[in-house]
Parts: sequence; C-alpha cells; structure tokens
Amino acid sequence: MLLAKNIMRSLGVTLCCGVVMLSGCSRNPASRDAALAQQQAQAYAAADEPLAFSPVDRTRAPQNDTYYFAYDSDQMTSADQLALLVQANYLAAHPNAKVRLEGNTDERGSAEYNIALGWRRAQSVAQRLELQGVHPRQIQIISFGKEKPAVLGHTAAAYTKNRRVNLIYKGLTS
Amino acid sequence: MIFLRILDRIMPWIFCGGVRLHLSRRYQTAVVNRKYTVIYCLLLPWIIWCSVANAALNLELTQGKSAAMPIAVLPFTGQAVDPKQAAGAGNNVAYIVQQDLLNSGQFYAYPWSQLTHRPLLDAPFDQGYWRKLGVEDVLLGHVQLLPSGRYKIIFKLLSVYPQSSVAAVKPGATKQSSAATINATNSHLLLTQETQVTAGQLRAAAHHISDAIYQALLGTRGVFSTRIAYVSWHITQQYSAQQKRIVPRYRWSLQLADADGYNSKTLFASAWPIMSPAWSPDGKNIAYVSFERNQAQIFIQNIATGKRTLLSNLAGVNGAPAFSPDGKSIALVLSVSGRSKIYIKALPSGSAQPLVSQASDATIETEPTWAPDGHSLVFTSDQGGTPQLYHYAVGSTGSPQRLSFSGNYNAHANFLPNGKQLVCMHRSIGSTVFNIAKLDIDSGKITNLTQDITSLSPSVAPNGQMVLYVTRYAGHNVLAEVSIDGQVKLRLPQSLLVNDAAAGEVIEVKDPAWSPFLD
Repeated sequence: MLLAKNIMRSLGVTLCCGVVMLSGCSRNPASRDAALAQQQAQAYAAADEPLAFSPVDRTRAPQNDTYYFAYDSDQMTSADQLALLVQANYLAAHPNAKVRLEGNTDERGSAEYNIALGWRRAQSVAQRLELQGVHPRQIQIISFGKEKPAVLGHTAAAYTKNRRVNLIYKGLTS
Repeated sequence: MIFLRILDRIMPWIFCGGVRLHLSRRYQTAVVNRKYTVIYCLLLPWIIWCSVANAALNLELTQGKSAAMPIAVLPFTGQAVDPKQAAGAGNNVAYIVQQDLLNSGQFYAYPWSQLTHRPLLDAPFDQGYWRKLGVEDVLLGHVQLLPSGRYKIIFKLLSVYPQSSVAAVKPGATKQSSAATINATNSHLLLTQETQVTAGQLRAAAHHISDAIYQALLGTRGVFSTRIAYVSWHITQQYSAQQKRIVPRYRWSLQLADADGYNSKTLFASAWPIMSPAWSPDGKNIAYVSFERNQAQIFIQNIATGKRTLLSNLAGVNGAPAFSPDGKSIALVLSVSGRSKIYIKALPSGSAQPLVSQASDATIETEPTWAPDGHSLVFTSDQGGTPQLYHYAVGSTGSPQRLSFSGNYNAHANFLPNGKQLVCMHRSIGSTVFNIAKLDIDSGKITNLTQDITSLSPSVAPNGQMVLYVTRYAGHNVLAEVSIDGQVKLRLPQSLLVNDAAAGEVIEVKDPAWSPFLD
C-alpha cells in the first residue's frame, strides 16, 4: 500500500527525469554532429595519406613535373626554380613544344577565390618560363583552384600536396 | 552480484533521491533499494529507444524555432494514409504540406498519430477540441480523382482563435494565394482554395498549398515551390601503376532539384570540373563554369530544352557568372588583363566591359553579386591584403569601397532582397573554420549564423528568409540550410540530392544556388 504508492511515485520521478534527459539530448545534435564529423574526417584523411610519390628525374627534358607552394603564396622554392630551368631551356630550344600549366590550391576558402589564387601560381611559373625565352604561345595556363586535389583529406599534409602547379607537355603522358 | 550492490547504492540517489526522503524509516532497507534499481533497469531500454527514435525523426530539421506556430495539418480525405508512402517520395498532398511547414522550422506540425480527431471538410468547426490540444491553425482538405484522370484538391485553413477582422492578402502575394478566397463572414476560415491537377503535378500542388499557408500565417512569400541547383562531385580511388599509389579520379554533374531535395535530375554531366551555377532572374536558364577540354568556359543552359550556349571562353579564367536583376547583362570574371577581374557583358553577345575603372593589375577581383536594384555590385578582392568584400557602382570612376573589416577572410557574398545586408563566408582572426555570416552594409557589423563546423558557399532564398550552404557531415560535404535569424537549422538528405551515383563512388555536394521565385 504505502510501498506501492512510493514505487509509483518513484516511477513518476524516473519518467520525469527521463523526459528531461531526452529533451536535453535533442537540444544538442550540433555538438554530437561536430564530434562525429571530426572523428570521420580524421579517419578519411588518414586513409588518404599519400604513399611516397615515385620521384621524377628533374634533370631530364622533356619531363612533366609538379611545383609546390606555401599557403596563399605564388613564390617558387629554389629547388623548384632550378628544376623549372631545365624545362625552360628545352622549351626555348624547341619552339614547337607546348606545355600546359595547371594551377591548384588547397581546399580552404571559397571556390572562385581559389581559382584566382591558382591562376596567380600558374602565372608565376609562366613568367619564369618566358624570362628564359619561351614564347607565350607555347604555354597554356589553366587554374583548377581547389576543384582537382591530388590528395583527398582535410589535414595539413594533404593541403601541402595540393598547393601545386602541374607542368604537362602536350603529347607527353608521363 | 557486487555490481548489483553498487548499483543499489547509486541508483536511488540519481533518480529517486527526492522520493526517498518521503519514505518512512520502516522502508529504508536493502529490499526497497533493490526495487528502485529494478525499476530503473526496466525503464532504461525504453529511455534509450526513445532517444534513438527521436534522432531519426529529426534527421532533417536539426534545430527549430523556439516559438514555432502549432498547426494541425490533417490527412486529406480521398488519399490513402500509407506509412510506407509517407516515408518516401509519395504524392500524399497533406503529408507534403506537413513536412514543408515542419521543415521550415517556423511551424510545429503535429504528427498524425496525435491527431485522432479527423473532421470532414464541411463539418462544423470544433474550436474547443483544438484549443485544448494547443493548436492555433487547422488545415483540412479533400483529394478527389476525377473521371478525366485528373485530381481535384480542395483545402481549408482555419484559425482556432478567430480574428475580428480577417487580414487581407498582402500585396505581392503569389498568384496562387491571391486566387484563394478569404471568407470574411466565417471568422474561423482564413483561406480556402480548389484546384485541378494531373497526377504528376500533385507534389507541385502540395508545395503551392504550403506557400499559401506560409503567406497567410507569416505574411511572407514561401519558397516551397522554388528549386535548387548544385554540383555533385563523384570520387573513386584507383591504383595508378605510374605513380605507384592510389589516386583519386573524379567526375562532376550539375544537378537540379526541388527546394526540399526531391525530384533531383542531372542537367549536365562531365569528366571535367563544373562550378558556380547561377540562375537567370526568370528562372529559365542557368549559367555555369565548365572545364571541358581542359579549358575554363562559361555556358548558359536552358533548363526546359537542355540547350547549351557558350557565353565566354577567352584564354585563362572565365568564372563566377552572375545575371543582373533585369536579366539583360551578366557579370563574370576574366583574366585577360593578367589577373582575375570582373567584367560586365550585355546579353546575349555584348563585349565584356571592366567593372572597376583603373583597377590595379596585381589584385584579384572575383565573386560578383548584384544589388537588387541592379545599380551596383559587391565582390571579393585581396586589394586590402586578405580576401574582403568591396562595393562598386556600375559606371563609377572611383575606387571600390571596402565593406568588411572584421575577420581575415570574407568572400562569396549574396545580397539579401532588402539590399541592405549581405550573407557571406566569414573567418575570424585566429579561427580555422569558416562560418556563414550576415553583414550589415551600413554598420559593417558581422553576425555568425553557423558555428563549429566549416561552412561555405552560401546562397540566399528569394524571400530572404533562408540560406542554403555547404557544410561537413559524417566526413562529407552536404547541403544544409539556416534561417536568416540563425534559429532554424536544416540538413538536406544526401540520398535524395544525388541520383546518379555509381557503385563505389563517394559523393560530395558543392556550389548550391537557390532559384528565384518560379511562378
């Protein structure tokens, strides 16, 4: 009797606490999503960490190559500048040879602004080629911005590999 | 056994501490404590199940307005209330209206399981019953299959609390709601309308009903009958012998869907990137950037016929197309001067004129967006050192006026229809994430609408009430919406948005663009 009444009362309290718990839960899906999303992102990036790229012989020409850039920068490293010189000399000596320069960025920021940034990078490489006597009609420039990443993922390692300009000879596949 | 003993000690304090104080000394024994533990353990599965079920119901609407209007959208007589159909892309008119209103975040539309009282369309209105339930408005309707094969839909929107004078339809209302009759003699009836449609038009008819209700109860035009364009990016991973690693391979499609994500269809599929879809003001054409044949080009595609017309393929960048509000010209980005700059072309075939006179060659201008009066544009530029928003009047000879002073990256601006505010991507100094933010042009004040997870690429609805954008969910880029006051949050189901995924492909959705009003 009294026991039964107290059990019913405790049942009621438990139910009330349960309801309070539930309403609390449904008010925080954003933080749940944030934690889950972060977990998933780490797993996704880890799976995409690149294996060692097969190195290209940068003293050889004609040779397709890739040049890497710092965040928000269009300045080439000195190693890349030396490697570019090899291709520039070849192009200057072979006026019928043509290259396509593809400018790329990492995924941060807006898509169209990254097109402009990728363009700046490809432009910077093109200017160096032209300084070595390569004719502008031998150079086609295109910017893909962040649309074609070399490495998928949201980590600094992936970003480093995506801030790049690809130099690709027309008619040369490797 | 020890575990149960420990549980016995803890449980009463967690859940029943208050009750325990009321017990007489006689019952404060181990036996009574065990009963509490048993009760709690019996209830635990129910509590867990409820939170899981609750999550499933809220899969799309992740945050609603705290003062949502309670409305009872009753199943329309004449259409089967099939739970299987209701869960899918069926044609149950009342269910579509209920979901529209619920997902707008402005309404609490009662689930049908709670609406056991189902009056017929012409039955007398039982005001007392609805008041007790807490409902403010009731929608009733009937769908009838005619011998011709068409459907006749009649609906009535009734207010539980009658107004002494029924509000007239506001100016600028849709064709649909101005055709509806406001019955001033019966003070409960707000709106009634009859329409005839084919089976294929049932969803569209339901969305028009949602628009009419939204307009009648909130005084603003609804966007349930609008559409969205977006790009789906398809990714597969393949081993490359040449590079001795697994390389990603991509393809892209330009997609179109209803505002609720249903009826998605592919407008254009390509092995090269597609970007920046932009609607013409009449809703008939979409301009976008395509990199087909390894060259950036802008095409305009007619939605009804699928016909593609080349707009611009100058050497270098052709990007960020934006139709003027009168539809007679288009702004775009070209790099012919050596850097990305904004130009304006008269349609269909005028020559490109630079927007900013005497612009410095070293700076970037991109992402033009037109003011609603068509006299000026806002764009993104790095002339201040970092990407920021600038304002410039068409035909002006001065320098662009900087609008954003907060944060180190402000881009992808969209004007609101009031012409006084912008929605943009914003990154605060010291932060690594982007938020969707609102910028007041006069005061320069920036208010974040989203938090926590990086959000990009906002597009404003034509009624200025919702913003469509890209965010990350479960590791992938998906479409989401936030209301302009930041209170309502919604995520669009990925499975609806992409209908041409191949096996093994990972899909990311990007570059959304909300259509203008399509009536």
